[in-house]
Amino acid sequence: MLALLRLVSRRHLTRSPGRTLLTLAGVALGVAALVAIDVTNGSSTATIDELVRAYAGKAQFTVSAASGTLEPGALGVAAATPGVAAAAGSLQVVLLVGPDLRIALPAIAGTGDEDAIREYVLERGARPTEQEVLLGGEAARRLGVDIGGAVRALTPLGVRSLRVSGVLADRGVGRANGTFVAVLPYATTDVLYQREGRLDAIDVALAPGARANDVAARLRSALPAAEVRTPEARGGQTKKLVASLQSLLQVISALSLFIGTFLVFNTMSIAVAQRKREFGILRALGVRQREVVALVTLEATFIGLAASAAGAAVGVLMAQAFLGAVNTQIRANFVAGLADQLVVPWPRLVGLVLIGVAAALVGALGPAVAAASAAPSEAMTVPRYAAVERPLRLRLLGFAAVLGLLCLVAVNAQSNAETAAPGSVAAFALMLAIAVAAAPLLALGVRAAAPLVEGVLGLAARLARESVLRSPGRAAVTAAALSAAITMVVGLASFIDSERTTIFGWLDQAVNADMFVSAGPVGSNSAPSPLDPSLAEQIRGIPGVRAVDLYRQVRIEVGTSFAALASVDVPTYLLRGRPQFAPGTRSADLTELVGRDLVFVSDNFANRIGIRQDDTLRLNTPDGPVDFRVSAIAVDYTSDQGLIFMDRTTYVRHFHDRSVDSFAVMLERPADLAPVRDAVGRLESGALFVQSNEEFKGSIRKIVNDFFSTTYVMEAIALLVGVLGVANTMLVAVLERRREIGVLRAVGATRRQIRGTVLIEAGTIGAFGAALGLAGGAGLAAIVFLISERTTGWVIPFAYAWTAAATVTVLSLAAALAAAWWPARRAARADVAGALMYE
Amino acid sequence: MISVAFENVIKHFDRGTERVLALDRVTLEVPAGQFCAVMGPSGSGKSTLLHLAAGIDSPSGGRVLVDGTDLAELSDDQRTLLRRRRIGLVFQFFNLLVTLSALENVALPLQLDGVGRREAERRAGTLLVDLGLRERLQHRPHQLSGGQMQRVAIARALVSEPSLLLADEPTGNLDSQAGEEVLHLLRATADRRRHTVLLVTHDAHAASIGDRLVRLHDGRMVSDSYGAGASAAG
Repeated sequence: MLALLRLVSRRHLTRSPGRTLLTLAGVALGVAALVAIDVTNGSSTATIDELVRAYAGKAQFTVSAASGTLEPGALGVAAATPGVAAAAGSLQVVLLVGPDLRIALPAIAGTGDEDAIREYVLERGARPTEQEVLLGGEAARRLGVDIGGAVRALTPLGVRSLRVSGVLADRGVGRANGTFVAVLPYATTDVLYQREGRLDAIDVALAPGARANDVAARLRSALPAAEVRTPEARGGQTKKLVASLQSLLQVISALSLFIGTFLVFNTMSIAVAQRKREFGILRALGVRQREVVALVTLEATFIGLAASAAGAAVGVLMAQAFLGAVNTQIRANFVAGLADQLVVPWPRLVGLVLIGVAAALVGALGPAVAAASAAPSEAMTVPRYAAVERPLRLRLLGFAAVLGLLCLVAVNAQSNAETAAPGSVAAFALMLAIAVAAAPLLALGVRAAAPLVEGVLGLAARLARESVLRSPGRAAVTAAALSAAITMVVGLASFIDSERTTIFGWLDQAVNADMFVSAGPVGSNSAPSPLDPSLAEQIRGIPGVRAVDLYRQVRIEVGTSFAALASVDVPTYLLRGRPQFAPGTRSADLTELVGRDLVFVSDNFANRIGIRQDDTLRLNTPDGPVDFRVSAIAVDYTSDQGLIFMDRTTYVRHFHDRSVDSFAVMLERPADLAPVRDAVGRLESGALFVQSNEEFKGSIRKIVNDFFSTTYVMEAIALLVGVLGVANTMLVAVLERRREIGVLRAVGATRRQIRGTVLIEAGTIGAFGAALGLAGGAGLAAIVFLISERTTGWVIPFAYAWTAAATVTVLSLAAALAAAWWPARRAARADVAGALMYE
Repeated sequence: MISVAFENVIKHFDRGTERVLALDRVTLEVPAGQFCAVMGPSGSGKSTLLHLAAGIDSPSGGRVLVDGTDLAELSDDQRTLLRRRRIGLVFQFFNLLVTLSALENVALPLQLDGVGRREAERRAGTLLVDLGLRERLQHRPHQLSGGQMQRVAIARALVSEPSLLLADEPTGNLDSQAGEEVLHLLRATADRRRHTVLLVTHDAHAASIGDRLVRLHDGRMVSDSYGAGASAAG
């Protein structure tokens, strides 16, 4: 067997390096697409997991407020609860550091039984005392400081200089967030962040022999406004937040899995089918059937392994590029300062490589078994005058219908699901149904279009048709790969275009202050690093300022999920604009919100929770549950979790939080922008971040576009994969028809006519792939819209991406023709005499 | 009617580091209207000689002239058009396109030349009927016997009304009866249409139908004789 592998397989691979490279590239690209999305999603959630785990240390439970912070005294209550051995409280904040104070550095400040719960392992230096900071390894490296050095940080009390007391080892707390983390002394943090004894979380370790459920019940009873969860459940809550953001990537991941494995299958099956004659000769020479199959198995394993490993490496590099864009979204909305730490899940990576190998094996084995089981004489003489099959394979349409049914069932399940899983299954089933139906549809389509096409293009089209019909399976597999790519492009483009148009339209209408002042830009983090409300007075005092609104947004648990709770100074807010009330709801006088237990909520929140106008919404406040009446429902795209909006005085009264995330400044005249901006820029030692209306909207648009740009890369890969398939198919078609092309040349076909035949065949495959893809794209778009509606509550108006559809059709046709150009040229320049002697 | 001439033609092939001499300074003139049989064992260079005459291969040295024109002076397209309009080719293994019917195979050269499908098939049909294949027009190659396939191939070679017919072992893949029919057909057609024929074969009986017999051995012309039948046996 090894001799066969060395003699036959190695020679085969090295004899035509172009084809070998095409095969390897096809397999590698398929695996790269899989790995890129998987590692990107996995890295974000793994980093979140690690952050939660490192902060919670040895705790069995974490006590946290359903919204905002825990009341002062909660730590004492928790520590005194029977069955609790140790309780450590923490403030989990973000320092804005770096040369321009724009880098968000997650920091923890602990109090109570710290050493019993959390693990602080020092690489060098000491634990921080007043006005000091202990840095994680990556934080020290990125900030370029060491023990004794100073870190300038923007806090709610302004810019502070903190002395570096030491550097943490890569263990325990020091391991959090890819070691880009800081530890602050509790007393200093409590003052800087104006907490007055209110904690973010209390981590609790149980006494030996204590029953976990009993202790949890006691804690819930002692601290009724708090949630008691295991650290894993708390991490799970945070990951749930990210899940809706990742849902689009999950669908792309499912599609990548499909396109990737499909391509690997396609590539290998074509590569093996081409060698039918060679296997016939081997069989004639005494090689047994199972030895031929074993030879192909070994070959496919080697090719699959080599290409998949290369693809995995490329995929990891791509993930590194995607991670920044995805994490910017996560940082902007959920986890401030989340590090762009690439976490490569090795076991999963090995799994994905094995999927690549398995696809290569499945693709190779079918044709190999067929070739090995054919009589050697038949395999060797087949090209001559055996009957030419032109199968319709109509039974495949039945199988496709079953898959279509599965797709509908999954769509139905998605209608009642909050995760993207059923939708991903539906997308996968849809693509598979298209792929399965491709062969019979291609055969039927080519026959139906024949009179028209041959009327226009003549004999070349006739010969191309015969070539396609002779092996509709091969042509269809290629067309299906191309159609999968086009389905993905058109489906996602329809969704992205609709979402972007809607969000950007809303942004123009809703964001109408002249200037925004915050601690940092959106995306690096602004929300978790609040500002002192007294700054509003200073800004109001600047000549040219008409009004200043105070905006604060926090996360709040509602039922089993989260929502954003925003507060504004309603009278000032109404000076700059009014919300757009959701269709089908009554408009409301929002001035009635001032000082009262009334809220208005976003339409996506109302959809997700199932709440209507005038209903009562119960929110957990630090003082216990409070009922708010829903005064209005507005169209709003601030948060994919949904938004609850209340007046600032109501918020401060119930949540005891006076912090501000950003100030929305309205000017007397537009011309005042530059001087006011300069004046604001001088406040807080120049540490404030000031954006004009256009700059603010521009930064939001950029974040949205950056996120979607990751999908463009995947779409480009999918298209490339499809085009490689066309090149491969046409090359094989030309090689198989060597003799036929020689005959055509001998009886008078010019090179141009030969080229034309090959190009028409490629064009047929491209056009058919495009037609299937355009239809599939509409189906996929509908599925993605449904997933989005279920995971975010937003109902985005559906618009088919006609421009993208037209562009990708032209592009894929052009690419299919370009991919066939070299095989066509090769066919046209073939040695006629040699081809006629060829048997 | 056109003539074919080989002037001091050399043809060699490179097989790795080895150079194989297929034709060694062959000089032969086949005048217009002559039926010339070229005979020789396998590897003697007879098929190569035919390929050079058809312009589907080019000599390593010397000249090949068809109707006085040196093929080396023609572009690939010009050689293709010459083949399409003035040369008919018949092969040992028929070389029919497996996906086309007998009628479509025969109409192919006309269609390649821009003749409309209907007209091309009308002319192809007439020819096939003449050759006794009225019942086989819509049959594909695998549905035909060897003799029928070769008759379809001959029809394809004749459909453009060529002046030169090149036949490469036309009976080599047929049983004796079918072979005899094909030889008879070739001879009768040549007599009726008065075109020049160059037939290569290793079969003495097949070679005997020519007006002239040329023998090749190891790429060299070893004999050249006139008169039907007698010299082929020897």
